[in-house]
This record gives sequence, structure tokens and C-alpha cells, in this order.
Amino acid sequence: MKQRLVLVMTAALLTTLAAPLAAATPRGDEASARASVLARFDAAQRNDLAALDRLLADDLDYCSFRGDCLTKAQYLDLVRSGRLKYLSGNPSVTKIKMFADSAVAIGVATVTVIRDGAEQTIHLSYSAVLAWRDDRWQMTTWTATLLENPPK
Amino acid sequence: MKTRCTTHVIALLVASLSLSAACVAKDNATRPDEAGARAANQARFDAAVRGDVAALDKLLADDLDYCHSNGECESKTAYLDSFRAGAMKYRSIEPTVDRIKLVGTVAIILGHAHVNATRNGTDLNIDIGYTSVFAWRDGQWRLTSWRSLTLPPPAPK
Repeated sequence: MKQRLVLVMTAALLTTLAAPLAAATPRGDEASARASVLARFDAAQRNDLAALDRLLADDLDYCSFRGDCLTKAQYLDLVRSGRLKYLSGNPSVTKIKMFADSAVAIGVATVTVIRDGAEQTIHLSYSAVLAWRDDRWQMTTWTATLLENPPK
Repeated sequence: MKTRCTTHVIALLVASLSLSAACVAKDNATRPDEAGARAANQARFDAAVRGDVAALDKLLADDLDYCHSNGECESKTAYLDSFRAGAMKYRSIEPTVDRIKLVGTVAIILGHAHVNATRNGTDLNIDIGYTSVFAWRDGQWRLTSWRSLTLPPPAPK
């Protein structure tokens, strides 16, 4: 009886001590955050809605250079309907900053899109915030600024 | 022998539970919450209008990326230097907060503002959309990322 009690208490002790250690374990790293940002560009260009659904967080705020912000559902509908079609893109990630459960990516891109029937090539500077959820990076915020000249 | 072992295990268990309780208590006392992030966001705007470099220094993270509406990004040092040199002078900022999201130790704030300022000799009287990202460090929110974009003027009625 005593032996069982000791075993149960030892297990409880180890669980209690291990919990903070598990919480402090690094999750997604910088390389995977960078890859996730680029994968989102790639999925958008391939019109791959399933991939976009995985890469975008449910609480996404997608704020375009026009200043309008779309929810995830609105953004996916825009791509699904063909009103937004990515023809090509040349994205790069300039900087990644890591936090406990999130990452901020800053970068530039030149993208050619068809938006509401009009083709346009635009140069962007962007900031993306990624949240680590369900064992993967998910983009929760996107904000882009229009650049006058192509990024260097 | 068994009794001594049991006593040791109980003592360790009690000690570890006390440690956990202390950690939880500390977290509750200085928890990064939405109200604090909103207050830090407003304090940052107020400090910018006052040109209060000391206050800005406390509110801005050392790894700040401050990206203006023209897409140009500055470090904390460069941004503070622009105040010291008089290149950046705000006359007024009228901000609104549309949304705050907490992701672990980071707060993302989306909002709009009307800005009346002079930057590098150019007067600005513009409406902007902005995204602020605050990081919880040393028991306070600090702005680690800022991006704004100029909104088109409202269409005439």
C-alpha cells in the first residue's frame, strides 16, 4: 500500500515539475516561420485553397495596401471566386523576430495579380504575424504597404 | 526506511506545489492583458506628440521595426534620433483601436489614426491605418513592430 502511495506521489511530483519545462520548450523556429511565410505566397499563387486554409489562422486580419482588412473567410472567398488571382510573386523575408508562441516576419515582394479583372504589378513592404497553433505556424495578421519603386 | 522515503516524497511534492503556486501568483500580478496593451498603445501616441524621448525609450522595444506609410522601416535608434533632431514632430495624433489580439506574450493592435505632423520638413495631415505589435518584456508592453499606411482621403459627399 505504502509502495503504491510512493509511486503515485512520485508520478504526481514528476508531472508537476515537468509541466513548466514542457511549456518552455521552443516550438516553431525561425526557419519554419520563414518557410511558412513563403509557403503562403506559394499557395496563393497556386490558388491552393486547402493549403491557404492551413496556413491562415481563423482569426486572420488580412490588411491590404488599400487599407481594407479582410477576415480569413473573406480572403479565401476572394481567391476562390477568382476576383483575386496571383499570377507571379517574388517575395523575400527580410527579418524574423521570434516570441514565445508567435513570430513577426518583415519583408518585401513584387507581385502581379488580377484584382477585379485588372492586372497590376505592385511592389510591397509587408509585416506578418504568425501564431504557433496546432503544431504549425498560422498567419494571424498581414499588413502591407505599397512601395513606389521595386524593392532592392 | 519506507516511512522516511514517503516523507521525502511528500516534502518534495509540497515544495513543488508551493513553487507552482508562487509562479501562478506572479503571473496573475503582472499578466500581459488587453487593457494594458491598449494603454501602452495610447501612451506611445501621447509620448510621440509630446516629443518625449525618455517615455518613448521605455515604450519601444530595442528590436523595434518602425515601418512608415511609405514602406521605409527604421530601428528604434533611428526613430528616436528623428525626434531628437527635430526631423519628426507630431502636432496631433487622434487614434482609434479597432481590434486587439493576444497571442501568448504578444499583442497585435489594429487601428486607424488621423495624424498631423512634420517629417523631414514635409507637413503631413493624413489618415492612416496601422498595425502595432507589442511584446511583453520585463513586466511591460513594448512596441516591437509598427506598420502604417496612408488611407485615401474620404470621397466627397
